[in-house]
Amino acid sequence: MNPEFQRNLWLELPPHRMVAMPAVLVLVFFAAWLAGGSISFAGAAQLLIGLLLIIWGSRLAAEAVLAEVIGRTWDTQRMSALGPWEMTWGKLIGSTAFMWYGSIWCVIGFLLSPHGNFVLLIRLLLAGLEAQALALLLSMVLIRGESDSLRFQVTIAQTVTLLVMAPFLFFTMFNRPDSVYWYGFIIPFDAFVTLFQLVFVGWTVLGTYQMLRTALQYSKGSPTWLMFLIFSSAFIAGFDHLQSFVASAGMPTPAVTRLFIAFCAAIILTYACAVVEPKSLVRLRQWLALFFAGHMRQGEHLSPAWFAALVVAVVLGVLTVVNIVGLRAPGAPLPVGPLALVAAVLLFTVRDLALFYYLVLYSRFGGGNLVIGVYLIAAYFLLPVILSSARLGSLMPILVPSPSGPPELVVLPVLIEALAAVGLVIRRWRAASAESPSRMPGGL
Amino acid sequence: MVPVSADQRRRRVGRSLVERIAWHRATRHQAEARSLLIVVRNLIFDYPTKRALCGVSFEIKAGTITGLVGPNGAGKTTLLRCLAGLDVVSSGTVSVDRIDVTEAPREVHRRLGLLQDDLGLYDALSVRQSLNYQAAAYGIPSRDRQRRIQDSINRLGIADRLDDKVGALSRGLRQRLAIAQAMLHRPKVLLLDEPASGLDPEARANLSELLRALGTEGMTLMVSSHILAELEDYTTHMMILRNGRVVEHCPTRAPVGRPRRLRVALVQPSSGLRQCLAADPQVSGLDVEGAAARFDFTGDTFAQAQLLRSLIQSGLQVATLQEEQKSMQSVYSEKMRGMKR
Ligand SMILES: Nc1ncnc2c1ncn2[C@@H]1O[C@H](COP(=O)(O)OP(=O)(O)OP(=O)(O)O)[C@@H](O)[C@H]1O
Ligand SMILES: [Mg+2]
Repeated sequence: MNPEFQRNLWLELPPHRMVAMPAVLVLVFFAAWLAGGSISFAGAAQLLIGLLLIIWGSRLAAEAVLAEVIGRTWDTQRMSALGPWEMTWGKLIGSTAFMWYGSIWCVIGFLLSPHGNFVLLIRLLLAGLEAQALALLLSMVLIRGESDSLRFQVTIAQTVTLLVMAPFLFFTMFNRPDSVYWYGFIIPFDAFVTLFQLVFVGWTVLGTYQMLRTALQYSKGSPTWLMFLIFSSAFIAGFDHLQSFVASAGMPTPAVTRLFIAFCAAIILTYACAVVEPKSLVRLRQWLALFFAGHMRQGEHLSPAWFAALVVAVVLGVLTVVNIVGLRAPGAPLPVGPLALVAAVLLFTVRDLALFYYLVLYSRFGGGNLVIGVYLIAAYFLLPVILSSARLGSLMPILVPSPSGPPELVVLPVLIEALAAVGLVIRRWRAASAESPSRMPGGL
Repeated sequence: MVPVSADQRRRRVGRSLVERIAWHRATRHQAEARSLLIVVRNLIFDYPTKRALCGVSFEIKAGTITGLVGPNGAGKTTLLRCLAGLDVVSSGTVSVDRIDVTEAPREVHRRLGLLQDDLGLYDALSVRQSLNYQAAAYGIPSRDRQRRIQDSINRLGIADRLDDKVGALSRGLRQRLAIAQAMLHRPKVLLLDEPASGLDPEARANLSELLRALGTEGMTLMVSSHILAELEDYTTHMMILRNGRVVEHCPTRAPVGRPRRLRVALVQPSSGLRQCLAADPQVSGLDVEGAAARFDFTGDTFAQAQLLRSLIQSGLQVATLQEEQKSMQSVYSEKMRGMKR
């Protein structure tokens, strides 16, 4: 048996727990039955599965690696002969074994009830696995930082997991359309969602496996992350409903609109990575050293996650621009609006990334992420609201990327801001390198 | 020695003397290189805010026990972690058993056991479960596991604690369990970070005994400790680390054949002492001070017994005659003082 799984079973499923779980569940079911007959019996089972697998399970999965780091056992594990795959499923299923054990009882309760929706049950179980895999993956990302408050990282991993799962659960459980329009295909909703869930679980487990491979020093990076970025950009661009959503961007054809949506998706992923991933200056320094020495592949595992996302975004942005320029009718003037929009989105991203690092470098005592959160809310919510309530809506392109508005107002201010932000961060980085023990690389 | 095939031996016949000497030299060189188990070159390690190791270089031979000493914050723990491939070095190379730690850390991990200073035990498991997990996780074949576990717990004296929860053990017992785990997979190299801390005097003596035994079984050990007197009991080499640099790396015992420094003390001063010692041809560098005398002695321990007898026979009231080792403590203090100046 997988030793890691065995150890987790010892910890998670001692005899008293094996007795206590069904005892408690039977009581809950009994109460549900007293309250409202068999409909709420199935409802209680669903609710309990969601509670056990998603809410509690994501916490346990987030703790699986973080608890090892906190308990100083992680290094022993890293030195052991355990392989990354053994580690992946040993931790994923092992750390949540108690929850899965409880879910088995809930499934039995569910099947006993005449009103249970079987598809919903499968979907719920898959969602549980998704949440756990995502929490484990996020915890692996979070241990890359130099945070002292590892306990807090568990909460972060769980919160982010639930934030990602919440809209998904909402759309699959409550607000269910009949079909999904995706790349022009009309796909039955249930089939689409179940397939999506399987793919999502696949990606998260693969991601966790690759992270563990790197943590166990089997490899120095893999193309998995890049492949995921390309996949998810293409996946999101497929939703036909989004076409009307970005119609105001004024892209010339539906195909270019898809490219633009993919570009936006990559940008959103860049931001998500930049906010969630710990901004470790040591890793950044090592990565830059290798990068500027021309050893890009050796440094791959050190590169921040946003970097690949930004590269994908830039490629998609360039493709969009090339298409906009290439598709115009002969002799027609350049469609400046869409071009300016793509440029502005990229410049806003560069500006914000530079500012994030500036804030992290500046607030070395930590709390960088909090400041970043405040900054994002102020820059993209408070200021625009103030501006529009002051009847200065025409100046909005200065604050957010805008499809309408004079191109110079769309591009020039943010270009200056981006240059200033990059300049600031380079200066700050130089000052930090002067204090640090080793010379910073790349002449920065 | 390098095994020599019959074919090679035949070919060697009839070679010139020069050739033969060159051949011997080369093989000896190879053999020496083979006996070097740990080779560290220009190792630099940076923490985010501090350079913990600044260009450390040394070599460690197979079968030696090296005591790693140095003040708090000298970089001992960091060095051991770099040797174990847990932290990636900022620059320089580390190789263990001729395997580069940066290139093939997994290979190195298999040959290596590490006792961390913070132990890294699972409090919620029982001692038996911990050992079983460790054995399985470190890839010990299941048929050998119980025998290995039994052997380890007997050596560490925790056989009666198998069913206790690890979290309920005392600090010293936890330490012993962690040591038992670290040596469970019979690594070639065992790195121990402060193994004696928290142990009672008897357990310390047992630990010294155990480490010496592991050394004679061919394991190569590196032991960081602040308790110099104990290191002296079992180490063959000493390495002093200070501010991330190796300031001393030397054998702790004088090689055979070199004169040893002896000290003889009488009950009360006597003029006969100098005469009697000076008459012995094996004595040199005589230094008499009150009732005691120090001198270099080229003879072995039998000759030393002979000397003692002759001293007593000439009517001197000898209280002690002992080897005066340059104790680790004195080398250590000397080095530390030297650095401060
Ligand atoms: N995680 C860390 N971040 C920053 N600096 C560190 C970190 N760990 C250790 N250091 C610093 O590196 C230096 C070497 O530390 P190390 O733990 O290797 O010393 P040590 O010789 O083991 O000390 P001790 O005898 O106290 O165990 C110290 O100055 C320490 O402050
Ligand atoms: Mg230490």
